[in-house]
Amino acid sequence: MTDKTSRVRVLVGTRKGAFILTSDARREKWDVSGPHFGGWEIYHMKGSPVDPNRLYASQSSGWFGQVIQRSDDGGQTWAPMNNKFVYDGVPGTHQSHDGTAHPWEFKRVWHLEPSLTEVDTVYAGVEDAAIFRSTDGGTSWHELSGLRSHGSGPLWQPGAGGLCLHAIILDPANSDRMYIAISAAGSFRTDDGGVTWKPINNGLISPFLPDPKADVGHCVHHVTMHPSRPSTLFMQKHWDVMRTDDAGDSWHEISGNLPTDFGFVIDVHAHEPETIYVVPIKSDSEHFPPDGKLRVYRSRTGGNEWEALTKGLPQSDCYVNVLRDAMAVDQLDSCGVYFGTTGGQVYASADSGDSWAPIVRDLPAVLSVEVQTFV
Amino acid sequence: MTIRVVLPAHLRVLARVPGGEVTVEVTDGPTQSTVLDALEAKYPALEGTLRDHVTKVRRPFVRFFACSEDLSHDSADAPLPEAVCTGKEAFWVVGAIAGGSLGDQYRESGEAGAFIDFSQGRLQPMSVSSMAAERLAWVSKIHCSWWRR
Repeated sequence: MTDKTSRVRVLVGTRKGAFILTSDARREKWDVSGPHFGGWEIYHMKGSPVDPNRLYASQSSGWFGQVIQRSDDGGQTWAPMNNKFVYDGVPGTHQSHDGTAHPWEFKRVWHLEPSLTEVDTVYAGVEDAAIFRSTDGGTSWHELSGLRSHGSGPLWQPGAGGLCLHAIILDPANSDRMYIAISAAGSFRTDDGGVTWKPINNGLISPFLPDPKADVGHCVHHVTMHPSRPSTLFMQKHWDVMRTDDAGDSWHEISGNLPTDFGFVIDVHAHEPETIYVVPIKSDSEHFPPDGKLRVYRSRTGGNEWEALTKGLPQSDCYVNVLRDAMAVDQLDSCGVYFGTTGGQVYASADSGDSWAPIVRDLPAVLSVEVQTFV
Repeated sequence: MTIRVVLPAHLRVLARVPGGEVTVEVTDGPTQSTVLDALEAKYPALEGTLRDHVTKVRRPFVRFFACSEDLSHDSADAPLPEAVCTGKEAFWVVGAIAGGSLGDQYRESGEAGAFIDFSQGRLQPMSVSSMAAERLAWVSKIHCSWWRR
């Protein structure tokens, strides 16, 4: 329930540091804290649902590699945690861009997903693609190697951003079930807490593959889920917006009347599980909005029928991109929707997308956006 | 013995050392390995930022200098120069593509990764005002070649 004491905290990762934006429930005036970790790339920050003041941040640099930061006071102070991500056993090879075998090499953490029930448990999706888990608040990391070793690893290949595991979705109704997505391998599911995994890409069609309907090799850009319907997932693929209602066993396309079904982000309304949002991007070779118009598209029907949301967004000469982890929603009664751009703007809507305003507009390129709600 | 180590600004922030230099104690004959071991033991946040956790191989964009010499490609187990062992000279950790502060600021702050003159094969911090455009281009070219390594 939203009341006078309700507030939101927006965690923004950028190419040159982290920023924390806070506001009350009106979401009109924002305090900006940062840059934290100035000069470093912050691929992702996220708070624990168990203790919202427990934040995890992925900090990295081409020079000095990966750092994991943890805050126990909502981002006021931070401490570097263990950054040792070592693959289990002999890492083996995946495909390089040219199809040749390439040894698995850890590069960075793309996504941190805190446990829904344990404050010290957090999952890390990394490049080269793998999933790690810490059960001690980031003091140590261990690979859930059943994903990488289940057999199709040698067929995985990097997308333009690298061979990254960028999405981790925890099933709130079944603690043994998780979903992950890799660009470019596809989506996978575990039903035994991460011991074994299987690809869940039936229904995806990727014309660039020798077999467009292959089990693996699909360039999934992002996947999202509403917690009340954990078997329904929405996917923004390289091209195509997709949906499954059987936990990924089969997917079908819901691109409908979108002006282009290429894009990166996709998210679900906090209170309406059939209301979803995407930001169409012109093409895989032109990563900016069609016609220079930044438009969020909303479907209130779970896909296929989409409406352009433009109020408050630039409708001419806009050529930013919105990256895969750069959209989030808050939990207030009037659902807030947020997204960040490669131009350094973070736009917010306090009315489910009907109108938008930049809450900060001159940050470094935004890599990720997460929102915490305090009611 | 006490070894002086100059860290780049980002790593000083990460290790929470405000000054320009840190010191580490190394027994026996100091080498890159023993100095880095001591550095990581004293500042655990630096583990993995200079060299690989497991293989101990130097990260590609991290360079080591001492006594005006590039030691980056020396054996990690080779003895460090005598001047480093005696504390007369520091062991420098430098981010490839030197950048950051200018020479004067370097002198005031001990900033590592400052503009550096390699033309004489020496480690010589410079003020940008004294650096001719041709020299800057030349340095940039050299640095670009580092990127490709």
